[in-house]
Amino acid sequence: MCELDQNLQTPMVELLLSLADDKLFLGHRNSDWTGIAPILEADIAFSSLAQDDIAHASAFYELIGTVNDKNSDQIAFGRTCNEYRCADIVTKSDNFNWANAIARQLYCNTFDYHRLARLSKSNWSPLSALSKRILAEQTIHVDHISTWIQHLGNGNSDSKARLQEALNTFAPYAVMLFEEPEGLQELHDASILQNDSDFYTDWKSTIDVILNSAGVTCTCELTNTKGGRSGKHDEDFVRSLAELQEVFSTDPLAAW
Amino acid sequence: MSASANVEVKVGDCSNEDPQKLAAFEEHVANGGLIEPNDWMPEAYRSLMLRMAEHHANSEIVGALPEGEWIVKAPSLLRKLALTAKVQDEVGHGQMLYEVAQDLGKSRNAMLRDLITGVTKYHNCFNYPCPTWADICMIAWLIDGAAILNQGTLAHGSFGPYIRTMRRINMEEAFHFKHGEDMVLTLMSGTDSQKQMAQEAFDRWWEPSIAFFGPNDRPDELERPAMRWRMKTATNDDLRQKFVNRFAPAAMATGLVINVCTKDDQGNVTSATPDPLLKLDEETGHWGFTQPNWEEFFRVIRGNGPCNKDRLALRRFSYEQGEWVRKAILDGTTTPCKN
Repeated sequence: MCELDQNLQTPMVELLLSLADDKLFLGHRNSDWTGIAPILEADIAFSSLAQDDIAHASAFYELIGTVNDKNSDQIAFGRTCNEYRCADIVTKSDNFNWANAIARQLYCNTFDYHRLARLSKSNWSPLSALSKRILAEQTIHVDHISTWIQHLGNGNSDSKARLQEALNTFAPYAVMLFEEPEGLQELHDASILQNDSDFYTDWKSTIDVILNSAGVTCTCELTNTKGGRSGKHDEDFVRSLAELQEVFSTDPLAAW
Repeated sequence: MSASANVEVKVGDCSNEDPQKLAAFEEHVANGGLIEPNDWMPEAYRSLMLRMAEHHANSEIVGALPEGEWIVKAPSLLRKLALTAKVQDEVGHGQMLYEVAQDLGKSRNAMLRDLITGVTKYHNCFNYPCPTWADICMIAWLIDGAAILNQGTLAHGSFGPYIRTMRRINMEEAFHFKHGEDMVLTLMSGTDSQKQMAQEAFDRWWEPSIAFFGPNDRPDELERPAMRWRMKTATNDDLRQKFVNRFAPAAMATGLVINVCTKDDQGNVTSATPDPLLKLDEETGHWGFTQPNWEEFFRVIRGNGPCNKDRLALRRFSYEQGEWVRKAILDGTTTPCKN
């Protein structure tokens, strides 16, 4: 199915924005490490992850553009704070602590892996085709971050303690990834999306296997709190958005 | 951003070397032969080559800093991706060049420590400020353009691992230059404020670009070890002239004006007047130009430029905040990354 019913366009845009905004801002924050990561090889790898995420975001913004007829850069750069739909874990500051960056990356990468796996079964073929393509790279991200979890968890007592602390700090933000985009049920009701398993349970099983291999844990619980998916963002997001828009907003109609 | 390996070093004479081996070495090099890490080489050659590769590697990773800061502000998805990829390339160049230097006898960790403690240097052009997006455009165009000219000649040098690395790096630099040229052309065909922003950035970067190739040649330039042993294959002044011949007309064609500027201690332009020497000599094909302010150049090299302290502080921060990570990997049971 290539055509999307008029009444499903708004819920689809909400869903795609939650995905694209997560990817854009995760890449944005990860690019902070380009040039200053703890090891040159890790620097190069993390920069590739950032580029992948920004490129994935671009592809989803383009898909949104096919629905609402807007330009990708205008969508990515040209909204007000409460129009962004990312979960705030993607912009939560890691304070240039590598353990924080790794914990944030683990939670987001595994979430995206399961999200893309589910969307790749969508009946709307533009979404399933794009999700399948990106899922292949997302799998590499999960492998890469799993290796880092093992490096730190199985490194020495200091690195294990730092990693555990970071996992604890970011866990309450991780569950906010599961806040549902508005109108998601309508896409299910129209059979655009179908799920054969529980999203949260799948995700938790994946991270538990990875964390067990490194002797660390994640304790978290789902909540009904409204956050980024509803356009309610914290100060870290506001700062990230200001950076993102700093040059663009000097003349949003100019070519850069 | 990339950099030249235009390091100034003093090497001892070769009086302690075996005269026969030295003569064979010099003949081999003079005939265009390559030196590999396990070949015999005078200690002065090893020392000079190590310092060149180390200085170049340092320049790559320090050069990543000013551009890296602008990734989060890049004004379109395409520019954001391209800039991240470019800075990643520079870090990759650093990684390759540290490998070259390591083969000459110094560990990466020792080189990174010497960099942050000021024992070793990096290229001077990274000590200037980048206050606007247009500075990032000018750096990619002018500084990477200068690096391509310089490294094109370094790729014909005598040390095998270094020249092979140069060839790989130069292919990527060619992309960086195109990326810079595209950004400059976009600004110069944009709004009035974009053009003004570009001109102001050009005023900041023209002088560091022509100073990029290092001080004026000495009378005995061709006899100095770097040239005699073919580590360098072109002199600073020759490269500078080639750069001006190429970029002065290119800049003017976009509508940019080549000014002679005065600057304050923070690198802000305080006055700008069109370069009175800028004209084409029809006979030689060379463009005339005003020399950089060498007094300022040496002041910045001595550590007193607008951004020396900030750049080193950020490198030091990176080194220190990563120490526990490197230790964890060395202590751990997972396959180690390189350190």
